[in-house]
Amino acid sequence: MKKFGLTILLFFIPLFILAELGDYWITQSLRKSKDKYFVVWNDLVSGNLNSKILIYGTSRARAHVNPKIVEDTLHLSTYNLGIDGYTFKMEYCRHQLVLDKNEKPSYIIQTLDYHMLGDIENLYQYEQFYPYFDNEIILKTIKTYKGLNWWDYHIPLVRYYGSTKEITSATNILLRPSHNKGNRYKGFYNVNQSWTNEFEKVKESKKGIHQKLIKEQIILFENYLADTKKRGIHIIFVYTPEHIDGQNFVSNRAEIITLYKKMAAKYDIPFIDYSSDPMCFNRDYFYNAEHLNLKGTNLFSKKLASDLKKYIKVSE
Amino acid sequence: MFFNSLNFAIFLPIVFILYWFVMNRNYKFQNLLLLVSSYFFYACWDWRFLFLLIFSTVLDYYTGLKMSDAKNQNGKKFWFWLSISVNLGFLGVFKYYNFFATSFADAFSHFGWQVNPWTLKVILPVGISFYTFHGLSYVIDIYKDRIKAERNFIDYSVFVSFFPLLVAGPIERATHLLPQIQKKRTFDYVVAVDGLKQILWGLFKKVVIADNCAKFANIIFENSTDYSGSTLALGAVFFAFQIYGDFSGYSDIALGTARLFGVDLLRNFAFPYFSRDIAEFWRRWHISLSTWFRDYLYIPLGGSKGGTWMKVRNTFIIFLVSGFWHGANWTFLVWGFLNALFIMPSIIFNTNRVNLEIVAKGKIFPTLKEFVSIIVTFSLTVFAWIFFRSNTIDQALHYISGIFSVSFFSFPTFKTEVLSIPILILVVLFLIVEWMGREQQYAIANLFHGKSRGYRWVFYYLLIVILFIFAGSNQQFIYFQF
Repeated sequence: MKKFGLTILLFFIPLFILAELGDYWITQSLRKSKDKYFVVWNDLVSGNLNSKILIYGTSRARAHVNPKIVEDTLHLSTYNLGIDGYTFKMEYCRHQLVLDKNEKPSYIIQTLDYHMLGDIENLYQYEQFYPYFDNEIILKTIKTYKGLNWWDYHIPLVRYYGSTKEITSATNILLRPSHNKGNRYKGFYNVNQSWTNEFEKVKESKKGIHQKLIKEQIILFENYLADTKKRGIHIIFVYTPEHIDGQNFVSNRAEIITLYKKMAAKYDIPFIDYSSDPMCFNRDYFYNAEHLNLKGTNLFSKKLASDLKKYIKVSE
Repeated sequence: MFFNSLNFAIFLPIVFILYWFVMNRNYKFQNLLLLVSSYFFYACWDWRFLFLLIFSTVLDYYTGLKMSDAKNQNGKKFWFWLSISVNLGFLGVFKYYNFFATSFADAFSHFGWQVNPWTLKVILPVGISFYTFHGLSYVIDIYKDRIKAERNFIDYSVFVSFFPLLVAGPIERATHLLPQIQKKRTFDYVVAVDGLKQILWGLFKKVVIADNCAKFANIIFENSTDYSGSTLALGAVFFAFQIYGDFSGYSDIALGTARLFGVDLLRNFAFPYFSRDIAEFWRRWHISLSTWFRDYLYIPLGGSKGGTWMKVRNTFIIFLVSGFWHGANWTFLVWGFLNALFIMPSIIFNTNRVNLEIVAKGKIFPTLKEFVSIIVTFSLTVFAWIFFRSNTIDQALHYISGIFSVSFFSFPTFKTEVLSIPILILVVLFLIVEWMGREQQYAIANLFHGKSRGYRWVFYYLLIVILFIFAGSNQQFIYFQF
């Protein structure tokens, strides 16, 4: 039995060392990544945003507002911080990182969604958080979701188990640093795709959606609005285009918009609502009920940039 | 608690340490520990079904004792049929009730009678088919006077519930497992190290081969109308590797784990995809189930003693029952029927016991004839797997008609997922290792035998690294649903 115990020990010691080194190497490589979501987190935690205008929101923000177009029109540096699959709690995490690590923005374009003040239970695309477990703000937020276990947080390398894409990406960054390129421009990413049947599939399984609003999220959102105002950062609410079929699918959408309007009035925030824009009636601009495609985004970004001139002091 | 989960990686060493360091003075304490651990292991899925498992255990233990103590044949017969009826009754209710109810309703609707059957909204208790068969073999063996009833309830409960085999086998026999439970086990370094190696190989098969093949098989089977014949054929091959990696991987982990506790379980797989005919395939695939059906169904039905017709009839019966054992769906029945059909030539011409040894024993390569036989057998197996994987007969038929189209001769393509070249390379390497180790209990049992420890350990580290990087998205073991 002693021999067995010793063999096991001898076998596992190199594995533990390998795990510690592997964890350090993958984490450091991914913190240089220009790919997918990593580039945005990397810019956030290393204080590289350097932008006067920040776009906040969910995947609709990420896909709908092209910072290049906004920059060309308003001549102010712009960064899109829209994040897929999350509600305001994760947007707030990014906002805290903005304040903690980055230059203070002058304007925040707060895009709105019917589900922004709802909640989700599980971490979505949790691989995106792996390299930042040393960041207290990120760690505190992701621990409020389900999806990762004790060992993911505490045992080296375990969290990267089966993350083939992330490990491959880390290897590529090491071996071919010149290939470390991403497809995002200052956080923005969209696809050239025509209308898919995603929405029709959802309609087959559900008659509609009644979005539950979470009290904690509403309080957090209001606190954020008050605090941002106090800091002298201007917020502009934007409800970006949503296809009319998608709008009709949410039974309490009007109620949610009213809530946003009340908040806008309370904190003296301009509110640009594109819910009745002609774009919302044309599927050519969307790939599903909630997301514009590249064609729609280019058109909308120009429209938005032009409309923002009313609220943002344009630099010459 | 899955074998490929971190929970199990924590659970196993704890039980191992308690077993050999704390409870090692008396095998009865060790048995008690195994029983408590096994119940905990089972309760991790759904503690409510633990009561069903305990009830089934108590029933078979009690009826076993009653049969042994019966003063006449009628009494013995009563307790025997009571046990059989209750065991099969539970299996029938949980596994087959909804199938029969909806099938009868469908049949009535063909005659214009609309029937709205009352269906049960229950989930299938994990491992019910396996532990029910454990219990059945035990009571049948007592009834046939092959064994005496076990009087120690703990020992009997460990036989039924020993956690490595509890949820997906191997389906053990009282004659094989109970004697091991009834005596003191001594720790054997070589056996324990070998057990760890088998666990590692099982994990590789499950996590790397099965789970990655599953990703492609699932995409293709779920969107079969979008793909060419060649891609559909490839999808069926992926499923063949998925189910083999999944189930034989599970069995390797079960056998390896049991060996850590000084217990030897029945071998369940012996390189079935290297079989030269279907009869050989069934001697090498899910061996513990095949032999169960042979001993408790085929032979009682008359086996092969009554001439060719009886052999044919009995073969069809056991394959149909075997198909139905896998699940309450017509697709499994067709799968069983097809296998019976494929095995028929060797039954009729009495050639079913030609290929008893592993192919190309002692040689590096097979002969051309052997190679062609392996390919033909594998193709037939893959064809039958299409029914096993499909949700309905219609889906399977559409899938097959899709394969046998002009597009069969085109290059396989994927729409939503890029076929991963590293995964294909790993599958090929896996096949090479399996071929090299086909004369052993499991493929890597004697790999680098005679070489220094360094060679072997480098290989194991390599397996662990591959396992870590290429672990496919976690899929439940297929056989848990049976």
